Amino acid sequence: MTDSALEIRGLRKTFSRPAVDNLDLTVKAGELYALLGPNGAGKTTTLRMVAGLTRADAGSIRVFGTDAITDPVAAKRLIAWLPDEPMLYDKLTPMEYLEFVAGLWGVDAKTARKRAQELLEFLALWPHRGERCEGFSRGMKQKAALAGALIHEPKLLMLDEPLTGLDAAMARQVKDLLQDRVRAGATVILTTHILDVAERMSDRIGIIQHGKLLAEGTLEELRARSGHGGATLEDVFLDLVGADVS
Amino acid sequence: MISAVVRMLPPGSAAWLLAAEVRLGLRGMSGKRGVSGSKIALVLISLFAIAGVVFGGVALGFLASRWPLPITPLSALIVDAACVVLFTLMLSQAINLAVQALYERGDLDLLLSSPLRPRVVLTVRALSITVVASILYVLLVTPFVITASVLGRPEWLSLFVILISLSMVATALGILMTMGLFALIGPRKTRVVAQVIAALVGGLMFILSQAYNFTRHEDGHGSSGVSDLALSLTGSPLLAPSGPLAWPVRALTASPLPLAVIGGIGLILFVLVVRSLGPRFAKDAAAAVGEKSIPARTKGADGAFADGLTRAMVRKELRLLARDPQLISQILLRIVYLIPLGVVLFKNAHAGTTPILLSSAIVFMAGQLAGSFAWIAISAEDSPDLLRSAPIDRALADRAKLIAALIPTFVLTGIAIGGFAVMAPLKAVVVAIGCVCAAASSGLIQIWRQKPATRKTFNQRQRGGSWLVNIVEMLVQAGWGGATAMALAGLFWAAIPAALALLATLALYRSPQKRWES
Repeated sequence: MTDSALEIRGLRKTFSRPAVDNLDLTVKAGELYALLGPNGAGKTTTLRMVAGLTRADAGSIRVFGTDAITDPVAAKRLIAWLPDEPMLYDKLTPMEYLEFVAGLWGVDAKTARKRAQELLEFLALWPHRGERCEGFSRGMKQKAALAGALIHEPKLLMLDEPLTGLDAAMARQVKDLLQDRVRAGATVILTTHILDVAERMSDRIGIIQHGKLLAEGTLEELRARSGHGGATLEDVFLDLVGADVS
Repeated sequence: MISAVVRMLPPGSAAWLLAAEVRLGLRGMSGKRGVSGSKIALVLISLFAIAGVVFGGVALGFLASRWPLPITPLSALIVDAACVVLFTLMLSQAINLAVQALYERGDLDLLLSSPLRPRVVLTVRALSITVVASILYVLLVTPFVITASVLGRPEWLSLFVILISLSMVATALGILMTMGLFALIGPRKTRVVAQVIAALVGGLMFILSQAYNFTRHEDGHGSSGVSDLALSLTGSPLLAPSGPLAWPVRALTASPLPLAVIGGIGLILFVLVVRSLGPRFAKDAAAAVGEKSIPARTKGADGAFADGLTRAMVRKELRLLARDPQLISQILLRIVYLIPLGVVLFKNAHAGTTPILLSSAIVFMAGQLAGSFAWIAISAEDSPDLLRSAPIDRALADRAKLIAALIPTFVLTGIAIGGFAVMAPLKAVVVAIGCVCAAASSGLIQIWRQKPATRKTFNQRQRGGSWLVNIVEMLVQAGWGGATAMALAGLFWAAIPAALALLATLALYRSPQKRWES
């Protein structure tokens, strides 16, 4: 039994320029890991390769010990991927959407129906269960997609900018839900530009730039590394990526 | 060039806005740069088609220049009928375009939030509808009109006036009807109802043309109620050279009063609608924005979930197909074609060649329907990443989508051949087999040659993917139609088109690895 939820070694992906460049990354089981980096750093490409949506040029990806490149179907059973643009069907209701996603992950109908109700109630979408998603606000769509990501109880949940466009109350609900899943034993990896969120929620933080991991560790470890004792994550981040904010 | 025109015109005027819209349209048409083999072939085919139109038009123009157009009851009837056919086609298109003008945002929000008067915006949108609804016909008749005019019959130039006037009337009525529906039934239903009406209007002439078959006398002499009516009409004073129904043919001979009246009717209606509805257009367009925010409730939200991938996939696809108003309006158009075929087939189940010809048309239509449903379900998947991130066998998912596409196809074609099955069960079985083969071929081609596209592509009456594949698919459907007709006629040779259709289908096979990589 491995204690790593995700193990990436020597991962490479080049589009017109290298997007991910010989990346090594390990996320432990049961932790909430924040992957930070400036725009175009390679965060989303990395997670898309783990989710099986983008083919890696080189390297290895193991999800709970399963090789995601040679056995993608087995790896996908353990993963949920939530991109910043929700993967929804506008003409379906949240219940119909969850029914479909449960079918994709092979969750039996009775269990799926029960979980769908629990998730929609928790996310305050139950009163809207019979409305088509096309009329939803961005936040409601994001929550419906999150419910879809959780319906099969993934062991590894990867979220790309999950709080973008959410109001304070909705963001709080999502954060609570994520921490709930971590307490229940799931592993969560999220990318975010809201550094406060990463600072407060995550167990460990990885900072990526030009497709390489610049630094990794708890906030204290990152502070120590950057030589800014007591600094905020924002100070540490800007220092590490060498951003000129003057 | 067009940018220079935009800069020259006074900003904020209707002409300036029109030039700016034309510039956007032209840049949209130019598409991606780059030359591929299929593009070259497409250009060559287009050039051949254009050459054919030009050559045919010049030849007809030459003939028309030798003799003046006679003004007789028969010529009046023919010109009137042509005007009615063209008008229904233009009206159908104008209604669809008016719906687009209201609902598709594009730069509409920018224009309506600017200090431009809404009347100017509506004028430009209406002018573009007029141009789009008439441009094909104007281009088709241009070689003919120019040739006839140059060779001494300049009165044929009045054909342009008539076409543009018809298009202006269609535009005015299309806008009036769409905005009227908007006021009566609200923004959500208007889009669907207007598109259904557009489909019915578009197919109206087909139904009327089928009136010949419905009213055919049993004596077998080919005489019918319609031809009797036409003959009796030619004796009517309405079609006499001085009668009102002869005005279109007189306008074609450039007779000043009829030409001025026909041209004037179009212009006056157009101006009246645009001037009176300008402010309302802005309000309706604003209301159309909120159309999607009105919650569309669905019954059965608390029902049991489907078990397993195939059931869940079929349910999802059927729900999406049933909730796509553009798809429904386009499918309805095909039903408009199918039902008269079914009725005639039922009436003439044992009457010579009629069932043979109609059965092949139904088989062809079954292939078309399956191709459309399968294209929407497979290529126009709204959330491809969701499927790709799921732990599923893609081949199984594609098969489930094919099942979802075939269910409505078989229901609709079943309606068309239902009556025939009662009258001639064995023949109906042959037709049903033809339908299954045509539909399965189209579905498989869509699976093998899938290419991601958006539903909007289909809604614009286009289909993504290679044009060559689309042509082969159509030939395959025709092949199955031909094979069915020959089988019904008891010809052993039916095996040849069937084998060719099968081979053409198999020739388009692509391995799962290849099709999912592309």
